[in-house]
Amino acid sequence: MAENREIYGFAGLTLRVNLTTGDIKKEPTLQYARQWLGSTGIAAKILYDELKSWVTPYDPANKIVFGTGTLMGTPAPGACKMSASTLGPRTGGWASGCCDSYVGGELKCAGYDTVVIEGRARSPVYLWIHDETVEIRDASRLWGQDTWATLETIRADLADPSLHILSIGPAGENLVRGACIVQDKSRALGRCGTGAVMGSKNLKALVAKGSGAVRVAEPDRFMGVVRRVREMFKTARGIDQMRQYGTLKLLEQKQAVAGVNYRNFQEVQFPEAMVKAIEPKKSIDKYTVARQNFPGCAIGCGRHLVVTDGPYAGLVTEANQWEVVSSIQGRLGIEEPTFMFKVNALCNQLGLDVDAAGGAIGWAMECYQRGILSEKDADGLSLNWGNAETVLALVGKIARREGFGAILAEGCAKAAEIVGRDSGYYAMHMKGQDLYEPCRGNLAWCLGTTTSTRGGGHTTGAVETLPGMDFDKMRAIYGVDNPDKVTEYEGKAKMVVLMEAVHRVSNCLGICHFNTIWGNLDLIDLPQMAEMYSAATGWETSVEDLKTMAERQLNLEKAFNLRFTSFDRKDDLPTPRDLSEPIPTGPMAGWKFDREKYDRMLDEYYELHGWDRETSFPTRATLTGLGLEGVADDLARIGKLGKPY
Amino acid sequence: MMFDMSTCGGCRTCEMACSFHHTGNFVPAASSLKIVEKKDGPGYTVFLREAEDGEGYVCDGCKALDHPLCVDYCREAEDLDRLLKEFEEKNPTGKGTRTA
Repeated sequence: MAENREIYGFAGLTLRVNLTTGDIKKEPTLQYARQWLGSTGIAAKILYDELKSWVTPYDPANKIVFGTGTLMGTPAPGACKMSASTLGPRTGGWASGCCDSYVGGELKCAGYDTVVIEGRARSPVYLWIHDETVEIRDASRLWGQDTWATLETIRADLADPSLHILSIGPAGENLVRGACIVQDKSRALGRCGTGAVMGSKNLKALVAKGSGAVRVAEPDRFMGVVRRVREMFKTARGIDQMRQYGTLKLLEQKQAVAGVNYRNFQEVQFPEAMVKAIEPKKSIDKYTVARQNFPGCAIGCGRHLVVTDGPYAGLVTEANQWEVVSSIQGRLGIEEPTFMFKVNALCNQLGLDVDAAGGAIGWAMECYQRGILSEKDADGLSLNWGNAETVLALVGKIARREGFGAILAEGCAKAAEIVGRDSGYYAMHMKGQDLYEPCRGNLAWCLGTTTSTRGGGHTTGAVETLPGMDFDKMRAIYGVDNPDKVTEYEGKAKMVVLMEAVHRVSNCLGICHFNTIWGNLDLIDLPQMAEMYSAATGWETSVEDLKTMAERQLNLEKAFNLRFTSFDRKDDLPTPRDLSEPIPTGPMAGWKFDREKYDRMLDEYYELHGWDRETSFPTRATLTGLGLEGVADDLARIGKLGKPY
Repeated sequence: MMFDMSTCGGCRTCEMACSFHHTGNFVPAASSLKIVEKKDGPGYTVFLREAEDGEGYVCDGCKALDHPLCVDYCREAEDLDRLLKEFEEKNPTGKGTRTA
């Protein structure tokens, strides 16, 4: 294990690897750890401080920061998440994705909290980190391989079948803007195109193995807290369904709240025939052969599958979560129940984010429906809804930037700019990134999604509100009296601001959101996170302290965007389709955004943050209050400091 | 010694708990048990050190505790407990001696 400085919870070191020069440096994590909770927080600090304003996503001067959760490597429930953050090619701004990981725990046992990748290698390489030794190794032979083959090749090369890796597939190599980074075979540092930035650096993979210890400051206290928190999982409401099916259990509830994506958001409820056809829970029951859980997880919602019949018989893969059903299977109207497994596996092999694939193909299919695109535009493919073969072919074309795939590889927003023909209305995106989240009719979910600094996404502030939840508990947690009234504008800004903190704190500590109140109101909330963090680090930290650090991080992400993009209030609004079209079908049919009320809700959201209502920019007082005086000066220099109230 | 445990999901929390019992820290490399991916398909097997091998501790059954610590942290506690008892019967010499 690399040298461990006097710090607890954290491994102690930040590793810097410059792929241009081959220089490798190790620095103490302590320089960041008191102000930034860990993982994505430290990444935001490094990227904000170190990227010049002229840097572009594929520039060698861009950096990727791999972050491990502060509680990773301990039995804290769900502490298995690591992150990759960078200046991203989807939005041109803050880009960050988290995923379940064995690699993160190995990094910590090797002594590293954070790995900063700088520069660009002359030819393909991979990084092999084993305790003190860090090697930049030739990956010429791996270039072009999919992520599954890459895993097997690296395990064979290093003669260790137990190794875990992060790698990119052809999508990342080909700078597809929606390329992700895949952990082993099935978990992705998704969204934001971090895989494309890795590809731009000629970095095929990161491999880590550590033999050292993760130490906590107060072992007995820490284990006592962890034991108590793990007890919460024994009685949490609805947890058995989560254990059995993961978020695939959500279909009925999502149907009831206009929470699905059908035919590129034209509808937000599946037709009954499709619900009967796909039955995702039935497929889990039918094809499960083994469980898959990540370190510390106290739920265990993953499954290994062998598909034994149908068009994809013989497929051996891991079960997907709900997102694949909504974002690509339903969005494209495909009724074959095992398609979700197949397309998820294919995207993982190619290193392509499922949301990026679904968003771009959904736009293309709607354009085809409306006569904007024809077979001639699409390499002879019929882009009719429900055509599974076409979708799988397009996924491959996107990853390899072949023909029409090269346009879709840009993402729906840019593809619409390239094609023109008034196709922009059908490009469902936030800040340039393809949208997964249905936003109509569920305001706390919508506001968290649309204001997200990374361009959409429901894991940086969106609040899940579904039928059957314990709304009394929700009232107590969020401090509002109407959480069950999903279409009432009042109180939703307050809910989102709390969830922004919960999401950031759990990301920084490495705790899977499903193990928190976001996924289940009976599970981990900020008080439990504060107690585990305090016992692990030895730094007594209150809930208010955690909220302050999360707010500091959010303001830095925001400032990062202001430096690199032209985002302002207009970019925090829902898509034109969502704003203008009523919900067409289902129990909420006819509901439509009230623009005046929406604007008031957005005003309230900015006020709660101390941001300028007109522009969305943070004020000097807000930044100064968070210890970000230098950031206030930076924003003043570029004319993007919010006006004081 | 390898044991099949069909309910194991590979979370390796047992390794963290075990190493904490032996060292007071979380150091999976020193754990008495290791979760190993099956070679012939999805799923996991549990490896328990039978003797000193220069890398980690041999299971001592956490005799001073009500339950072995790894069992306390396993979501499939009954299965792991059964497996440990089987190991103890087959390998009664484990003394929990640090070998590395």
